[in-house]
Amino acid sequence: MKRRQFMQLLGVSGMAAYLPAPFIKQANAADPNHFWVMVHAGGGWDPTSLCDPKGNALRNDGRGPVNQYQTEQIKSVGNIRYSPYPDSVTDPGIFDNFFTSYQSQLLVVNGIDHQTNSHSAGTRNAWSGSSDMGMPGFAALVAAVTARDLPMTFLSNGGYDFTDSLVSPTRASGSGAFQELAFPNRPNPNDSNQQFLDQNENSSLDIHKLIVDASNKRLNRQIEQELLPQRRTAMSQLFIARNGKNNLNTLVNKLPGQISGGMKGQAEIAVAAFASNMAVSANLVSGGFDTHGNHDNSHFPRLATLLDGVDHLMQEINRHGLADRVTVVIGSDFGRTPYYNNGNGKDHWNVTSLMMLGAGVQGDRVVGATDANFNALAINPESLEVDPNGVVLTPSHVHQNLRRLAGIEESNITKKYGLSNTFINLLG
Amino acid sequence: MDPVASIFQHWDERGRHRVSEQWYSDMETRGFNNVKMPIKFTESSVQWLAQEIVKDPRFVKATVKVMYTGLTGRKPINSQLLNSNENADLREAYVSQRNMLNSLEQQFIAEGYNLKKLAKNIILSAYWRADSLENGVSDTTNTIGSSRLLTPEMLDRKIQAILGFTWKRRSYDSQSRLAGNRNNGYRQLYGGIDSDLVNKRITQVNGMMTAVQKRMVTELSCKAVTLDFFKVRQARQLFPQVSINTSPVDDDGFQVPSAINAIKQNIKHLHWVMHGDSLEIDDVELQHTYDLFNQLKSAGHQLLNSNFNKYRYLPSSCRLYYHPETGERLSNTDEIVLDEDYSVRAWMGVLAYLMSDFKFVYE
Repeated sequence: MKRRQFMQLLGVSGMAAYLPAPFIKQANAADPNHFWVMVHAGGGWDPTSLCDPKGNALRNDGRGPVNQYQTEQIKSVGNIRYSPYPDSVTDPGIFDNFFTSYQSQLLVVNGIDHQTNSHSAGTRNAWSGSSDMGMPGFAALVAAVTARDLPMTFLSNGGYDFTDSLVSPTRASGSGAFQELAFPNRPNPNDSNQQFLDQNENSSLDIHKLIVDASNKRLNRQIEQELLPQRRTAMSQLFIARNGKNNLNTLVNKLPGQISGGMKGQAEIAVAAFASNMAVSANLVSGGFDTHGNHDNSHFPRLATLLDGVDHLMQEINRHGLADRVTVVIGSDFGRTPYYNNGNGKDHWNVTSLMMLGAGVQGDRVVGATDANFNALAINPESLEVDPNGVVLTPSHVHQNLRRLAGIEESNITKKYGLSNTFINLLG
Repeated sequence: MDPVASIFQHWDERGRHRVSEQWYSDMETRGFNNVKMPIKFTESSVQWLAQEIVKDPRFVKATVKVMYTGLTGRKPINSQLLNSNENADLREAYVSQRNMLNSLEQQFIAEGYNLKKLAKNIILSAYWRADSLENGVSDTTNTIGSSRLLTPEMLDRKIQAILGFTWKRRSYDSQSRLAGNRNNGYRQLYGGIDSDLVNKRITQVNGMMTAVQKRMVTELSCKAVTLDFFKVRQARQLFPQVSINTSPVDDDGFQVPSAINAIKQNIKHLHWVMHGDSLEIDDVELQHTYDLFNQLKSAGHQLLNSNFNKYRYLPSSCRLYYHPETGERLSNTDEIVLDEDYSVRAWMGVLAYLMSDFKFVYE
């Protein structure tokens, strides 16, 4: 069904009245060809083991070092400093590969105060810019403003995917079954001659189409007759989801022959969905960062998996020729304590970091700072230098930048979800 | 670390009970809610914790909330939303819903913490049963009435219950397409979870999920019709009122009232088993389904007339060659391969129509 016909049908049936408000088109400066990937390190990562390294100098309060690795082993490439592996953990070289490959594109934002050590509040704050409940994640917001009528506009593999009903998140990981779904009436997706329900060029003899038409008419009758708004809304959502654009077969053609597991598979599907005009934003997730015990042995391999996944994501973006159109943001619930507990673990800490690369991001930069004990330092809003009279960065500052970069800050939808802080230009 | 974590000191990271000789000295001693666990419960610390949790008034609130969310598919309105929202309707809806939840909580205590009775009380509540609103009453917060999109596991069980078999990719597969965790399954695509990286269900339908529904409808209607017609009539779940040859018109084109009645009775039966709707025989929706059946038969006859040798056979994946229970090859007279009156495919169409219905995928 063409969009014009589809919208006409909605209008005729009165269904548009039951759509979520943002479905009604609004003028805005947002670019529907700009794609967004939010990579969530689930459980609370440790920036001192990654992009805000401190080393093994002993703390003055007797709580030992921030890290086990030696301070003089801290590595750097360009302006980016990054953590070495401690001697106790085998280094697969993934950190070196990641930071040398992407240094020129990478923005590191250190010293972000999430103001919580609760997983749910921290994750919400990281990805919506506010710890208040009811705030949609950025990925949902940008999808709602720029391309809400795409069939799977916001792909989510978890993380923070609250949408406040602006759009519906779509799950697309963990399946090699796209071909079957792209051709639902073919027993064998590769054989166009065989169908479950007979199809015919003459629409009056097209059994499959007759059934689909009858089903749509029945759903329209149900919507018209339904007296409860809640049920009527659900019916309308079903109608819209069934009759929107469906480029699944295009997506299938853009997927690799064998979809990878874990975050790499999530990345492959997300980028194929961007390339086939099916989605504009995606949440990717890599978990296992909540290392209350045995931190170094557990956390460094998780970080390596995460960076390896982001590397794969960037390769997929390049493979599809989307390098100048995709922005990638990597973050987590919060940080981890700048000292080890009795079980060699690290507990929750409100200060953390975030990394960005891709479209609209000026690379080889580090913004924000922490002291030797991993406390957030205030920065001057103009110069971005450390300034005791300045401000401490929060997720709200990051999201103001994301909204501006996406061109959605003036949208009426975005204005419904205001952010409190004044704007600080982090992206350069 | 908190005192509750200390209660689990004899369990390892895989959930196995392993008595630990040493415990971390910087952790709080075992306890809950500012009460230290008496030493006599050392060997039954988790049982002690359970008793303490049940004593906490928040236990009742949490239990009712979990059951309400599980049954309706929607969380109750969160009071924190009111802090950042001036919507008067939301405030009113919150107060009204809170009254209902308070009542459920009190009933739960009065009935001895009986979960079955709590489930029954939720189902009997006006919020669940409502099918309309009084004049002048609005529901801008969409909290009244029940309509939850079935999870993949729920839909899987529904298919099994109604069609009599599980949706699998191949008949010999051990896992269900919807509920299994195979890589080529649909569980996550249909908004499900893997309890690892993906641990939150999607509750609002999207384009990908409707693609799964479309596949479900075509694949299952194809299989279900021949399987059910193979059974003796008394054992059929879907077609107890008709035979595979029941046709509304005879060979000369004259209507056969008894056959028409049987077909309509069977459609009535299908609306009941698939949607829970008890329709009168002259109900307009029943007539719509009957009209579709006739429309499909009529179109099918034209296809047969255009190319009999092509259209006289069922699609190969819808044919029944093997006994559904024993797996033995059926004789030529028992197998279902031909459909020279297009009846089987008309019923497949009716089944597809009813299976793609809102009432099948939502409850």
